Amino acid sequence: MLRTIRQQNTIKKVSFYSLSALLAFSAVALVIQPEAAHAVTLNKVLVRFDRLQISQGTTGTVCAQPTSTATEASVQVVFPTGYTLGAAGTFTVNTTNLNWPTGGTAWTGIGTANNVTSQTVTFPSGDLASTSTLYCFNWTNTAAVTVKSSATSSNAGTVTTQTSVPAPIDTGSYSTVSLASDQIGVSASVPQAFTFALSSTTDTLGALSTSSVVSSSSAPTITVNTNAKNGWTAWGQDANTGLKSVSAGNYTIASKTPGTNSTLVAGTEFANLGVTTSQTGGTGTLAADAAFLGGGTGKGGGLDTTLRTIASSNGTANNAVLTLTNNAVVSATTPAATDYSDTITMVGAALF
Amino acid sequence: MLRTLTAAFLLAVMPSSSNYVLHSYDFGNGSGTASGTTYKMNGTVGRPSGALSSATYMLPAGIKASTSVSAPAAPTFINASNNYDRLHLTLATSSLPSDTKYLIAISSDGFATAKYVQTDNTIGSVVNINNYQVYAAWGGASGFSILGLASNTTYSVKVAALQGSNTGSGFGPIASAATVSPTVTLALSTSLTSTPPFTTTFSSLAPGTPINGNATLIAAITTNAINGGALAIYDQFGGLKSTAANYTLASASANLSVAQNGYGAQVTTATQTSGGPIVSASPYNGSGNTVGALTTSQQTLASFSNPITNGNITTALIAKTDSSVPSAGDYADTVTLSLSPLF
Repeated sequence: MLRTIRQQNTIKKVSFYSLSALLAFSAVALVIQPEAAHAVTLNKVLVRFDRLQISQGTTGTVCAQPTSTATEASVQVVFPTGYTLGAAGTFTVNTTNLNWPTGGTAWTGIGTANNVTSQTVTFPSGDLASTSTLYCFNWTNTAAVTVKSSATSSNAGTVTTQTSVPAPIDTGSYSTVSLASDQIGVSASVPQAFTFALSSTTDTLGALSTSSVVSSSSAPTITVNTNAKNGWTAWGQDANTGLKSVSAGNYTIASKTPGTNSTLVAGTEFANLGVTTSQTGGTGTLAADAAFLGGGTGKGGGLDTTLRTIASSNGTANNAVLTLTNNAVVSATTPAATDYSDTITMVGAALF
Repeated sequence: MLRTLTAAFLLAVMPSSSNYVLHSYDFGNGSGTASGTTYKMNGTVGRPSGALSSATYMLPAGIKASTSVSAPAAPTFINASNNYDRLHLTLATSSLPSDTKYLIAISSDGFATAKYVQTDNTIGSVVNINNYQVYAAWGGASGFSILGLASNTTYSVKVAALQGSNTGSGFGPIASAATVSPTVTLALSTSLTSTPPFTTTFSSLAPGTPINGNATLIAAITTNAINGGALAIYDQFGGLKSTAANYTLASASANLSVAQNGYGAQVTTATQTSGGPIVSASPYNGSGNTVGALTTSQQTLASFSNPITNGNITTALIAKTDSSVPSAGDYADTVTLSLSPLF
């Protein structure tokens, strides 16, 4: 009997330990039993389509800020229903910051997509090491994505990072729109404009001398403004082909060699016009005609009753200025008179 | 699954938990009750995270508790602001003592599986004493938002209490709420038409005077993007281009009252019914005849940092020529707008 009791006790002890073990192991097993793979929501996600217009091919940008610290090996972008996707090879990428959101940082290790299945595009990725960083990349080929053919709102998609298995790590939903038109056409007309302004209508040389060339003390100017793309020209002519005195019996101090540039010499009686130029802006290159090029004492060209080109430009002019310097010198035999005069006519025209 | 795992651990692992260690063990055929003339043992097998209970006691999840308190009433659980990634919860204290701590369980499958709200208001699998927080820590009467939820998903929550020296309750009644999907709407129009094609015209850009296009650009935005977004602008030519004149009036950021010539954009109004607010971005936030440059790459016209309802951004294009800009009747450009909500 005693033996029987010990055997019973042994059996019960075994049963107790078994039950406890089963309880313990069950508890342990339940505590460490791995959960099924479950993606966590991304901290932030953005997919920007550079064109929102229906049926337009578009490039774009993908940004995501991870939540988990797992090691990424790829990212899947699900594009909205109705968007047409190209082959994987069309999803070329770069990490140029194209007006990314504040804090946007180049997506580590992003590469050209290696798979397109239905609306899902898979890009190889490096590890997104920081959960406080918004990682971004651009797809650069308009052949990759074409916006759906109808205008709708809240077109939904997702971005999911994955491990190398692959298993989802973090996922986020995004939304976009498709528009009938995302563009505004701008048109403008710039009317023709030409201004040609004389600064003064008189130029008094004063007493002429045999010993030196007398030039305009305050040379008149012509200011030209024109938006003629082909430029403009100024012409000049005079009434007397020189300075004429009625009181001296219509004696004329002649214009020296009209149409030819020269420099007056003291004591040798002649008159001419020297032209110098300046310009604030415009596309044209302004230049005085060689025959009338001034810039030195007595340097210029003689005017006559024929309109002669004094300056020209090959483009637009913003504040182009012609400075007109009249020069004259007399000889010992030039009749004295106080009424030597001439009338110079200046004409300008633009070529639109 | 449980049986398989248990078998594996019997072979390889010294069984233990945070509350006990089994130093010797063996298989047996014990049942729930073992007894003899001199002893009796009652045992129960169950999930530590479940409500281990009998007629006289309930064990709260995650900790070793001794006696019971009343389970809290169902919390107030709502989608406060058309959110897609969070829901708002306010605990019901049910007259429990002020030092009561609360654990919040959450599930999207009717508690076939469960997660727990963590101290950073996200959800996770971790459940221990740290998940229990006092009412104030859970936002008090204002409540708090549970973060990191999936969009377009119905969630259920239930609350358990812990009071004093690990005196705990089981979970109370369930409350449910649903996140929505991320949404965005964008409507483009001009002051002349809401139907494309959209155009604006500078009918006569005589030199010397800044001129506004005859139509302003209008973008109407509504989105629940929690991080807001931005409206960007870019153009085709970086200016007004004439093929006939072979000339482009370049766009630049400038005060056209002073500059000799130029072309650019200015946000003239930025409003919203709620949310946002929309803020025009430099250099498009000028006044008078001050404009921001248009380029062939996207530039932020205006942005907002929060969800927005009926946001409205009006933009004017302004141009000025001088004599250096060739006359022509075919100056043109194409301006494109793009919206990027940050969810």
